[in-house]
Amino acid sequence: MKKILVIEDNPMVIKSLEFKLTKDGHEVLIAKDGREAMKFLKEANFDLILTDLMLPFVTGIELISYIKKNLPKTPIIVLSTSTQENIIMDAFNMGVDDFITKPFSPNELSLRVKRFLYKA
Amino acid sequence: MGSALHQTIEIASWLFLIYGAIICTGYLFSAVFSLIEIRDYKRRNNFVDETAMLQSLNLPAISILAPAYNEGLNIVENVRSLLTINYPSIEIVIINDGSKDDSLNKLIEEYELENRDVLYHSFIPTETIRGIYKSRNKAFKSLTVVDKENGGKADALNTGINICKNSIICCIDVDCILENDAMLKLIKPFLNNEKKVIASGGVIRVANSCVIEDGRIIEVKLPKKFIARVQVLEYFRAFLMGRMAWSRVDGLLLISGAFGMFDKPTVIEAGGYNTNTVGEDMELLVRMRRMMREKNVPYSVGFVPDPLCWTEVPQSWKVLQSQRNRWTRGTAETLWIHKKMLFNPKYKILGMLSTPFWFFFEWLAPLIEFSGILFFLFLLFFNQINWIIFLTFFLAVYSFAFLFSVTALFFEEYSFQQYTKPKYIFRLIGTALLEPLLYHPVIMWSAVMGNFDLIRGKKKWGTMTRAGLTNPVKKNKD
Amino acid sequence: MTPNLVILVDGFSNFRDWAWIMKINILIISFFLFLTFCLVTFILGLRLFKNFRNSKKQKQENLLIDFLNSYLFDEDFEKQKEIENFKKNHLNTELEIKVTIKEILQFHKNLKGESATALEELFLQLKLDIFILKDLDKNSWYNTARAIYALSELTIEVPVNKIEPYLNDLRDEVRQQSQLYFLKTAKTNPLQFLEVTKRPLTTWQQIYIENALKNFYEGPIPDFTQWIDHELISVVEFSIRLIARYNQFENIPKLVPFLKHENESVKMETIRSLRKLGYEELLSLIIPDFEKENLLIKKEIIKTIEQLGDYNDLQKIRPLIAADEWELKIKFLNIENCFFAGENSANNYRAHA
Repeated sequence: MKKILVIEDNPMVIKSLEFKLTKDGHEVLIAKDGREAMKFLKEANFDLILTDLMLPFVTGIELISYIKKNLPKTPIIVLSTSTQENIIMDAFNMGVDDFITKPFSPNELSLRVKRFLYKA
Repeated sequence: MGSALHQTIEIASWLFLIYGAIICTGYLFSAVFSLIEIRDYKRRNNFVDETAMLQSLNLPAISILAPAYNEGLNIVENVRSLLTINYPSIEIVIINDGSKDDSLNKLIEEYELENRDVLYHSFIPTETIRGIYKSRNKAFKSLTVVDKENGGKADALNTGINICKNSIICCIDVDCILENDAMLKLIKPFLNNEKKVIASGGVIRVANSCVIEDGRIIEVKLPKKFIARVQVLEYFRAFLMGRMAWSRVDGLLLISGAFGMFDKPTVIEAGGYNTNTVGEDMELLVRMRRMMREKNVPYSVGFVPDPLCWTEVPQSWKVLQSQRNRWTRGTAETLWIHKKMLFNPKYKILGMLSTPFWFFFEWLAPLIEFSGILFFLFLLFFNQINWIIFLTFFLAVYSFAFLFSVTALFFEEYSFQQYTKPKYIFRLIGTALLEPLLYHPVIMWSAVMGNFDLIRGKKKWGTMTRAGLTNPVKKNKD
Repeated sequence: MTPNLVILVDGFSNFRDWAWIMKINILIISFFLFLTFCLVTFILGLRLFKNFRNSKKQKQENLLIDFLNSYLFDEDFEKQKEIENFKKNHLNTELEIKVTIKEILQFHKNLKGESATALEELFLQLKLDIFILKDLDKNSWYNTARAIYALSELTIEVPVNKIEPYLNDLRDEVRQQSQLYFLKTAKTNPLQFLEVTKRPLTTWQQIYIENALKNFYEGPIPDFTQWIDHELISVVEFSIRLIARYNQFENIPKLVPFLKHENESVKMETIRSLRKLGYEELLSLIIPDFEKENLLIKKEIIKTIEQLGDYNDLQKIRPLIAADEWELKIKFLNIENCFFAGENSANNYRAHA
């Protein structure tokens, strides 16, 4: 079973992601902010990271650069309300694998997650 | 002698009664207006979550100006918390006002700053700038640090105004903790009005004893020390009743220096912050309002009835006294500078209501109280005290003070309810009972001394010894 | 009575006067204490009430999260049966209905695609639209605004005449929600409501409209020039801005005359839009009038030179900047530096090429 780390602070989105991804057969761990995420990342390995950019305590950019430096093989999908081109470009330039804007389609998300999990 | 004294007492009683009656009327009005304002605000923001708007490119860019003097203890954390503010386009300008400690070096090291050649013009004259620093690291590209010769808070803010690039400025205390959506809420009045908005402010809360981590309030707790708890009540009265009511009649004279947003061109046109007064925050707004009124341009000042900012209040009697001393001097200086506005119909609400009210009931009140005490001592000396009468006067004033505090508590309960544990309410009520006896005399004395010092020519700010707003579990204080 | 008081009572002839003041004070004290007592009771009562209500809300919310997630993602979920069950057991009080509506709206805001449509169906099947429509007709602005918000968020259509009058309501929250309603339910011509708009568009409303246009509206983008002759200046400015935002190059000729508009902010908006559209003739039209314009427009002209012009254009206005126009000078010098740097790198390239 693949392990996914979800870093998100919107409670409704957390619940839905957890439900859907668990139904899809993955193991899901939730971090509500950047610091909790850092803690989890140091403790375990994940097959995929799904993160928002606007997080309390640690900016999304800092988090992504940490992941890229220490866990370079883990695919990162960004799930964000930001529709600004420059932010999306920055994220891709940092090496994230996919960017999904909110509001999101859960089915599409599920498909993309599967794609990255089984690509390697 | 008996009848002359009797007459004096009677006149004095009458005067005190009238003074008291006006205060009561003011209290009543402010209660009613505040209630309406809070109710309206709650209804307006009940159904729509506007955080999605935070992504909009059309929100105007803001420059945050934060003067810093000897804040080395926490400056790095404070700046970090500012950098994670949720808003599309923000410039953060930290002005190092000639700190004697290692504030600047800490910042240079942590944020990879380097000295840059930046063109600027001193729209407002300030002390010499020693250097302007920006970061090599793209993650901190919104940060600018200005290093200058010491000139005081007003001077530092003026420097920030000269350097910053956006036309909306937000002046804050560098160690204030902002709510997540504070910027969005504070800019809204600027975007929602048919008249030009020159400034907006919000509700400030007391952060002492709250659990704070990485620049965010994790848990709201009632301060442990009595002195800080009383200030919680004071802030409730000031913000939930005072400012809200004033904002409703558009007579607001003061936007807190701890957190306020301004229209930069108007500030520059008015001449920037006044470096010759210790009440620079109030003096600026009064001057800006006066200027707009004299130019006959319709305008308004926004107030957001939402807790946006948390700040540390003095926890030692000495620091508190020096703060209140300064506030009194600031109020007196501002009123003196703008004395032309008093009872001047040309200035409408500002002249006919706001400034007279501040004069008689904010500035004069402590002096009247003090003279009341002197009068009491005088009567005592001549053995002319009718103790029953005295007791009734005392109880009348005491019960009014208690009523005022309880009303503010009620508004807090009705609106934000940020002290969630029931025991907090009881403690606050207990604090309200003790305040007139233990706290108020100190405040009154500081105010009286403030006036005395002003006449003597004192001009200093005094130093604020910071306990440092960190998690109280980690430290052994409190 | 203590000796002091006896002395006093004897010493003052008008004892009645004293008693009078005392009576007033005692009256005042009792009145204050009474009010205080009422308020303390209010506070405690309010706290209890809020706690009680919040716990019920929380219960309903938890129920809904499970219900909605199962409804959307669980294939084994028996939709009809569960819906009936929910309607019967959990939609009885006003609080339950309100929380349900709010939660569905929350979900709907964050999801799109099949899930969003499923939620809209669910909403109708739970007959919550009836409740919303009742709210719409209540006489209070906050209920109306909230109802319109729900309708627009879930794109539930109601007869036009029900919402149209609210476009010009006194309260801007109501106006804003009705604007968004018409935008989100429109198949074509999303800004048609502008034709009947009589009150100025605030910047906040414009931000919302633009946001909704980008993220919600799915039909063809209209030609924004149809409103540049609107009676409201705010609408004119807004349309000019949108023309640039949506790259309607074909409308450039229609915008050019607005460079000479009498209203300063319209002029400014026009310069901005034409600059964004990259109109080549723009500089030749605005530079000659540089001296006459106000500060804000001068800033826009300089910005335009930065984006569309070159070093020579910059030099044309150098003599026209007054000695005390510091903001302009700073901008000018910064741009000049950029141009120099650009020139230098171009020279280097030529040298190496």
